[in-house]
Amino acid sequence: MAGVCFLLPGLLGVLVFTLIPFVEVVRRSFQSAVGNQWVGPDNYRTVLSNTAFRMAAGNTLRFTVICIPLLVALSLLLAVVLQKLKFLKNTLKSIFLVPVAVPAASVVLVWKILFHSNGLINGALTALGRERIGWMTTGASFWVLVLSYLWKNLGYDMILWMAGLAGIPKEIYEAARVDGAGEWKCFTRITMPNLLPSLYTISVLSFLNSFKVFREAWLVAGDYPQQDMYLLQHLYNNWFRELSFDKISAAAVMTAAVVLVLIVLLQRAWDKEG
Amino acid sequence: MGNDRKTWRRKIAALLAASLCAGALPAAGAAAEEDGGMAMGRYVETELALPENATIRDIVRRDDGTLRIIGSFYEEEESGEVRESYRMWDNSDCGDTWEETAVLPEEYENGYFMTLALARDGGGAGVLMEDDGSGDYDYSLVTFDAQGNAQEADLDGEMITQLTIADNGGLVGWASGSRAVLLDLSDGVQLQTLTDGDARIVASAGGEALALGNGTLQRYDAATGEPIARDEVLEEALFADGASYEVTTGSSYPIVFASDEEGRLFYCTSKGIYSHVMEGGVVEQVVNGDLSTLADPSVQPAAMETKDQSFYVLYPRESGAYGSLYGLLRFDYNPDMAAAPEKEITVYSLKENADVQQAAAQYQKLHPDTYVNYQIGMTGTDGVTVSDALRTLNTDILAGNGPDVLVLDGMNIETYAQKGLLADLSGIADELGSGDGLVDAVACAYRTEELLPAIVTKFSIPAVAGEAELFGQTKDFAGLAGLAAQTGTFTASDIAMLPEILYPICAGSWKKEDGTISQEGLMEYMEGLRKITDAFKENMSEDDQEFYDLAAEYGDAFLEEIMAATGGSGMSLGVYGMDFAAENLRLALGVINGMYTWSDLTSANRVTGKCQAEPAGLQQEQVFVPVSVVGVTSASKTPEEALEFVRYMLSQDGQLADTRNGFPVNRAALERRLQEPLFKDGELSSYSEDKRTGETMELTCYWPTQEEQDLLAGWIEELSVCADMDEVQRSVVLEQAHQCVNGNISAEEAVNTIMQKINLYLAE
Repeated sequence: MAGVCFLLPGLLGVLVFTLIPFVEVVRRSFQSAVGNQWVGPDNYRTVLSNTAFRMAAGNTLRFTVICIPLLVALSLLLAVVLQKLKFLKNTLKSIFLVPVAVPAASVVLVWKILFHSNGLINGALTALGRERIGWMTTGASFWVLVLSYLWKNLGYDMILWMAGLAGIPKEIYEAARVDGAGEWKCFTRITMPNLLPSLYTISVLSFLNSFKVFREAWLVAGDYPQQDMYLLQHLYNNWFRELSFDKISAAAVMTAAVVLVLIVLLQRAWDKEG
Repeated sequence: MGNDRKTWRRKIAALLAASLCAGALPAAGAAAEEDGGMAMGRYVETELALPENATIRDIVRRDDGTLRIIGSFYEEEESGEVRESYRMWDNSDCGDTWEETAVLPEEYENGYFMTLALARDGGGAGVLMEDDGSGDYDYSLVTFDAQGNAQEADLDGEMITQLTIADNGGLVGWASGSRAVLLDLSDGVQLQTLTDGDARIVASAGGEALALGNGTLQRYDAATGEPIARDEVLEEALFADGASYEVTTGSSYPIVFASDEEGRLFYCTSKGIYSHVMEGGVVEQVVNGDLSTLADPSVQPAAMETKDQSFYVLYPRESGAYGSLYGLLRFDYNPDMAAAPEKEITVYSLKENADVQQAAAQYQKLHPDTYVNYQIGMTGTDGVTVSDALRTLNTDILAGNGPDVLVLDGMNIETYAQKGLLADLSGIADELGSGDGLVDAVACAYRTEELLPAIVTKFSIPAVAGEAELFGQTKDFAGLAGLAAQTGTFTASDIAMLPEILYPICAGSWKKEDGTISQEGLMEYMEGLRKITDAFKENMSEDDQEFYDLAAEYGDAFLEEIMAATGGSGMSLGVYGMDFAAENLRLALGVINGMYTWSDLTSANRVTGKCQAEPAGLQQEQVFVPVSVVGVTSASKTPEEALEFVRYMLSQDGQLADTRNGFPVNRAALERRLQEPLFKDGELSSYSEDKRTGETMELTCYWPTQEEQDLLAGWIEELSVCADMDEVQRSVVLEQAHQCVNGNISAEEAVNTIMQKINLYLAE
């Protein structure tokens, strides 16, 4: 009973602010944009045949597939290296955490200074006798977005990994070293298996955080950025402006389904490993 | 023992909670009762008649309780000349009838009173401006008694443009240098400077002189000039929400003051009439401006008076044959009228729309039971973008709180219609078509096979003006570039705004049948812009360079300012009238957006014979720009009232209310607009400094002749293409176009970026 009481406020919050609105979204996905006309699966058909949706979904998928493994691997590497450090450990930890605290609007200013056609990077390239690059107007914009995401989230993931590392008993390492295990063997046979529960949490959090990169993309390039930077959130945002509640609802339901399936698959995979 | 205590504590807590709930119930019930009953009583306005052929300047409640007004009276003599005399009229029946009671001496008929003020005893004072015969002007203070007996005192070159007389006889003026000065009513001698350098408006209330500055209100004893402690409550109310009071005309003010028989202060702004007891703790709104003519942006008060708890507001209404025609509003308290109107319609526009504001104010006057709640998405002060505003609007629509009437300026009408958001307005169009008549090709430009989702209520015509022999070269970009290379063709502002000016006569042609954009058409536009701009820049004068730099420095804000002046339809050609008359300019591009513009051009043509005009055509011809487009939302909670409001906007009264921006689509109103002069020939002049010579340029305006009216009417009949004003596409194209003409990117880069963005937009 006490458990239920503790659970109730949180559950109520999730119900009121997430689940019930989502049920409303599901209902709307079968109705016309304005009014309550039932249109069946038409909205889903429209969305799936929409080239903008396909492009945005493709870009979002590409971004996720590239960013998540990179972020997870790089942050783990940093966490392991920092864990080993005897000096400057806390200072470096703080430095890596700074990007998390930097507001998106400030990041955008730095972007503009660096990546504008007359910005610092192009200035440096010109000084070196190289041609300018349209960082925001060519495919390079996608990689700027990837870089920004990694920079912003590396510190956060690193802290999560370090928490996982701190939970591994030192005695195991000592016993392994007595048995002659080297650094690499310790890492693959002790560290990695013990970090698997953290890997699940970190992957899911990184995945959800990847949606936030839209803020920077939107603040830099507005509603219609270079097409490689055009993400699902751009599309939702623009659809909302055009009163396309029908299409947003259908697309949101499909996105939620994909996210849910991915999370369930991840969980199952970790459970099996466990 | 411990458990007993806990049980008691719980019982007490439960009891307290129950009593709290019980206590709350009657209170809630009482509130509901209050809410259920309708609060009654509010001020209702009535428009009063003023003496005919007169321009009224001030109004006062005399000591004996009668009202007195003063102004110019015009009468046509047998010779055909118009004689202007200064007279006073009295009234003793609450402003319904006026009787002439005094005339100022004839000697002042040759001069012009820059300002006139009345005192409670019926006398008054004015600042007279007289030509001294050498082209310069003399200024003198004329004081007069209730019978019109006057005396004059020289002001020694001091220019005083505002005067007010306090209840204790103190005469206060506003002098150049933003000074409030105290004058002697008997001889005009300047007694002392009250405020030096920060007075924008001077006023009086009771025995006090008030000097309204930038965020401050200085108080003085009007008899002695002694300062009085500041009234912080009043100051806070006056300058709430960053309000400021700038005097922009010589005949009206953003704020006027008055005091009643008990000395209570009242002030009137566009927001309403407010009451305050000096040094009291409250400023109370007694008349809600939103429910009256005061909300009309074309109405600004000239003076206010109170009598027997009624308010009289004098305001310049429109240009008449002899000068400004004045209106007088009386606000009476009606205890039987609901405190707030029973019905409400919400009207929404992205940007502030003077046409709608006027219509809302006039509609409320005709329907006192209806409150027109006018909402503006982008006020211009809050950094809200078009997309932000549209998303907020859509959230309201989704929540069921959307507006009843939508002013679809720049919105994607096609999309809104497809979504079923807009109701069919065919009924109104048919009704009007069979009545006053409708310029159908313009008004019903958005008609689809199924419905008429929106009606264009006002429009302007993209045009070219100047030497007729040059017009042939304005039909293609190469010709325009050739013209831009010549001196005297185009101005720097034309070139700075070239992407905006040419957009309406090009954008529609880029749309292919499948709805996508033609890259070739867009490339032609972009390369054309670049060529014209480059050709102009190579030969531009220093003045043009200065203007162009200013436009480049202030960018969008500068252009937005100019665009806003013509309701987003581009630069009005009327501003070039003087340059054409002075033969400083040979050609200009822009819009003819009303009869003032057309009369400026035709008047300039009378001077030189070299100021012709014709509709502009480039990638498209016979184009009109919708200045205002309205629709009614299908989810409106008050559809009948919403339709009635649109009906009013399309009625002759609604269409003729705003004289500045846009031609009416109501045929009867259009004919009246063309034929009925807004001013008398020769009475309206514009002045400006000739930048080349430093001399003053003057353009005397004449109402277009029948032939000129017919020419314009003929062009209107031929209009058939509605300019593409979709704001999303327009902003994407113009942003890249400015980058291109400024040399930051090539035409190819600009087109590629636009194509990519627009294709995404269209694919969505």
